[in-house]
Amino acid sequence: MKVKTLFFLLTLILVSSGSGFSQDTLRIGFPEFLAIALENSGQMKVVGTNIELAENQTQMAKDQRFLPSLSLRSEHAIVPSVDSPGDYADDQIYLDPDATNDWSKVGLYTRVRLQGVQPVFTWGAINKAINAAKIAARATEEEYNATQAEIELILYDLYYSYVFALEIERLLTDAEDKIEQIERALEKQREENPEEADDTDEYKFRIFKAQFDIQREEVAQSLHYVKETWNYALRNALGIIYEPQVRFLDPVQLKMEHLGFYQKSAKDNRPELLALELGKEALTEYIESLKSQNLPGLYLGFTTTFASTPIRPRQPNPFISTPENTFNTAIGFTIRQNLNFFQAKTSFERSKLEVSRLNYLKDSQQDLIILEVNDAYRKAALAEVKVEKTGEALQVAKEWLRMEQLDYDFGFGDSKDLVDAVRQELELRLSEMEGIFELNSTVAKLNKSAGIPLTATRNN
Amino acid sequence: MRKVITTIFAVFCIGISSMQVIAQENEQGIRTLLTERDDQIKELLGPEGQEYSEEQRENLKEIINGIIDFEAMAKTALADTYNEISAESRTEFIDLFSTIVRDHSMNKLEIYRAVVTYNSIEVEDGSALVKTMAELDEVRTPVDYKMVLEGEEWVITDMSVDDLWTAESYKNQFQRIIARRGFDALMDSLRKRAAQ
Repeated sequence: MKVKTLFFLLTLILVSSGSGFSQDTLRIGFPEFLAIALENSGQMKVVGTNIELAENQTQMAKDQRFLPSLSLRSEHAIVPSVDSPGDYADDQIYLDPDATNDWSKVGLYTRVRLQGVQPVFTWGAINKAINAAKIAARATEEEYNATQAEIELILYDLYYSYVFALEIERLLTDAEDKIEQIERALEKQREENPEEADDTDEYKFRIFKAQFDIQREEVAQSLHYVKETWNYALRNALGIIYEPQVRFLDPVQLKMEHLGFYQKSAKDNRPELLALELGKEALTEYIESLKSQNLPGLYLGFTTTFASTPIRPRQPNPFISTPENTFNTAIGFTIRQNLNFFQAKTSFERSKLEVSRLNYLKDSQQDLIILEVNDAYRKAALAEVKVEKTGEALQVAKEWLRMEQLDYDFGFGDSKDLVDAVRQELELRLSEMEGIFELNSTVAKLNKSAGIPLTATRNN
Repeated sequence: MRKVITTIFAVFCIGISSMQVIAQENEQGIRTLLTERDDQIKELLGPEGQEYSEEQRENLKEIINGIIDFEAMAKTALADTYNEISAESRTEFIDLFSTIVRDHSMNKLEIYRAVVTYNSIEVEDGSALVKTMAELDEVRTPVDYKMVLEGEEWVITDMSVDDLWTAESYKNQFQRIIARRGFDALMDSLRKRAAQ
């Protein structure tokens, strides 16, 4: 028994460890990453439902065109039979003055009523209501686009954060090699020429190494954080580890336009503004629909009633009502006129106020968007200069480091200068990478603020 | 008159198009030359982590440095001083300089396993600037070459790794050493460095 248990446990351990190794790494490009993360986004699902609701509202408005009022009602009861002491024929019972209900015999009474109203002419009230609903649905789509643009921007930063972290990790690995080289050189110097060894160099190098270790840990932590966030955004399927397909962080190849271009583009393309404009349009159309609803409308109405109680005979005399056995139908035109003019007037006023509110809202939204564009433009322009100038500084640092390395190789070098050069070069490499990330991110923000699709930002 | 203009125009067009054809041929020639050299190096390198015999290292050194014009490189590295020293010193300098560069090229053989992408080859008046990107272990390094046509063969007169030109870097260093300690001190240190 014990052997069996042990065998079972071993199998379980092997299977579980096997499943750990079977995880596949899948490298995905930004479009795939975006598609999966958007699909998983709860926020997108909420706004997606809003679109469906708006489409449903449009359909409801459309449904008003055909038989907006149609009802079928059935009634059922137990009713007594009729006793005719005069022994009159079934179709002449109404002539028997002694006829009474006969509760010794009961039967099923059934009545069915079908009623309907079909609008014929309503001064376009229905069509305007449909148009208003359609425009409102388009406004909801723009709201959806606005939310998507916000989330896409966050996901863009998240995707390239991973690439950025990988780049920094490689930079530090490369720097680690250089640091080891310096350490070896310092040791060699101490061994070969102890009288020339400078304690200051030693202290400086040790401080630099400790600071480097902090940087290393920072990068490791940030990479861990990015991976966790990726996993959350992608809700990784079991056995799949996602990684970015893009391995290098390059600056976006995009010539920045003048500020006016982005401001105009924002006014023309920002989905928030388009949504407000469409909302205003929908409301105006709704007001027209309300106006039409207060004019007399022509409708076609019909009603059909059929009742049957087999236990009670039908009386053919038209003056004798026998609701238990009847069939009648009527069809005709009707004119409807709402008379609640005060309420209607108040309703118009309310809608007009709503239109004014939307106008003000659009103006204020536009002001905020222009401020956002200006700020994004400033940051992008600054980031562009920062990348360019850091690149220039890095080139100088590379030349300096090369010179110090050559000096060291040729025996003229100073370890202090070499440490300084390595540190400066590493700092500038990190700054350059940070600058590139910042540039790409700010350009993406600028494009988003101007309503330009994110695809215009990507270059790899 | 019109005929003359037409003829001049036609000759001009032919001249332009033939220059374009020559430039394209040169570009292709350079690309083939560098690609073949790269393939040869990779073939000699063999699988990753391989130990190399002295003979293999010499072969590699020859192929890696075979198309480098060390004289031109040394001339750039020494700048004006090159014309001021004796022919004997020049010969020694070129010899020492090429030894140092050749030895340096063998320090990290792994880098020759990098996948090379040719970004651009610009040919003009018998000289060329080749820009490539070498990628190894997810690290990209720009590697560029300055080349000249010597007779019928293209040779490298300077190369840049990670945006640093070799001859230019040496030039800066040598000039400082010469300015501070004189040409003889430079030669002494070169001799020591080459002997290592």
